[in-house]
Amino acid sequence: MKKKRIAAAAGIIAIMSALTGAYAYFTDTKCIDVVATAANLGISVDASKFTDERVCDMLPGDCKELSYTVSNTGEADVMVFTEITLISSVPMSDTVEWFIQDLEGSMTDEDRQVDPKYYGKDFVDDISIEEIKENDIKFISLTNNNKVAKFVVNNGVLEANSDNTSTVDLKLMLGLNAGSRFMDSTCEVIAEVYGIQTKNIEDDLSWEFIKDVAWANEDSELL
Amino acid sequence: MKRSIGNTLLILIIFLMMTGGTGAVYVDKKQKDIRVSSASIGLKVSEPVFYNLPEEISNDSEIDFSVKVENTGSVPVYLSENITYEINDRFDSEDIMIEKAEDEQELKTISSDAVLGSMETREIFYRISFPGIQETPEGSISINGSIIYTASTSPDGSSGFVSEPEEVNIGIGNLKLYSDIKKENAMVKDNDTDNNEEIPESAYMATESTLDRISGVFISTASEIEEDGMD
Repeated sequence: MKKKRIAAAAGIIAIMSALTGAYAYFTDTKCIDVVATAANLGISVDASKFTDERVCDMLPGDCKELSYTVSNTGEADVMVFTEITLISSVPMSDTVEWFIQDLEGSMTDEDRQVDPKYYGKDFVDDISIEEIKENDIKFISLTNNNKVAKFVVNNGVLEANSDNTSTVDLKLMLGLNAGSRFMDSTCEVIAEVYGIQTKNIEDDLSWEFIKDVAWANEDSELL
Repeated sequence: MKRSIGNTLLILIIFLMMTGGTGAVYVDKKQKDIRVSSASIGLKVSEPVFYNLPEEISNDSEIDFSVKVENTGSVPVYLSENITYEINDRFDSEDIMIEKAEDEQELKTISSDAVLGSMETREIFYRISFPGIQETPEGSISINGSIIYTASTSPDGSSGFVSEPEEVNIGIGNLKLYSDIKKENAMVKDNDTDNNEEIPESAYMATESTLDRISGVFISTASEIEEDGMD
């Protein structure tokens, strides 16, 4: 019995040697390697003309100019968008009383009305980047309590490695439809400027996804 | 058992990374926020201050009073006023007029299209005259009225902010008709001429009892007016 086991083991070793060989071929190897680097994407914002002092004591029909300058500090081209949130201390009507306007005044009263499909939402769910590109300013949503209105501003593309900056001139307006209930009220204006890579972007990339990525990046920077 | 749980967690983490991604698009974000304030509009009005209050009146009698109006708002406003009054509880009070006047120092009174600056106070002077008092039956009369002030940020109040109305009560009671003058004035009226008859001095003298007959403050001299601030 013991002899049979020894013979079987020797057979297996012989078969494996026959199959794999015993480095009977001459070989030579050369190794080349590269280090791939990811582009650095970054923006900076000069908000020295985006201050509280410019927007006090507003009356219906008043418009106050606000501006900020975005610079591309990274190594990749960026699309720049700004989500502007207006938080009114008193509820607004369907044609929002507090709103932002471009210098040409292209935003009409109709543009200030809540799109029914976005009514009651406090963030931009389904808007795609392509949709945002179509307008300079787009009124997106108004919350159920009618106090929080969201706008998205298309700031264009900033090329990398250039001195290009984008100055965004906006008018913050209190509409003529603002009644006396808006007296002595306040409106908080929050501008969140996003720089997004331009290449390899899918057209249907949603605004929500962009924001989620930005939040994830902020969280990772905190770690 | 432990190994199977560990494997399940690993598979779950890999699945989440595949589906959610970990920053598949480069995004950078900067944020800035400011607070906007709308204008505040408000008025503060004083009690009326009377400068003369005759015991007896004729068609030449005059009662002067003033009201101080302060713009407590943060922006200049246009001031409008609405004067209403009744005589002896009747509204047909054409015999008595309450209108704005300039004070003796020729200070300009505010007009309806004048702008009252933020936190600015103005004293507005009024005069009660009795041009048709001879038509009123003899006896005593009382005047009850009010001036309602409204501030607005547009001249006609059609746009912009409009403040809550502020009301000042004007009440004068027990004004006696001076019977002799009443008769003389009646004659003058028949002749269709101006009446420049002198009024007896006693008719302009206010007594202590006047304080009980008015809604407001009585001040007899101009110096006291300046010393008296708004409430």
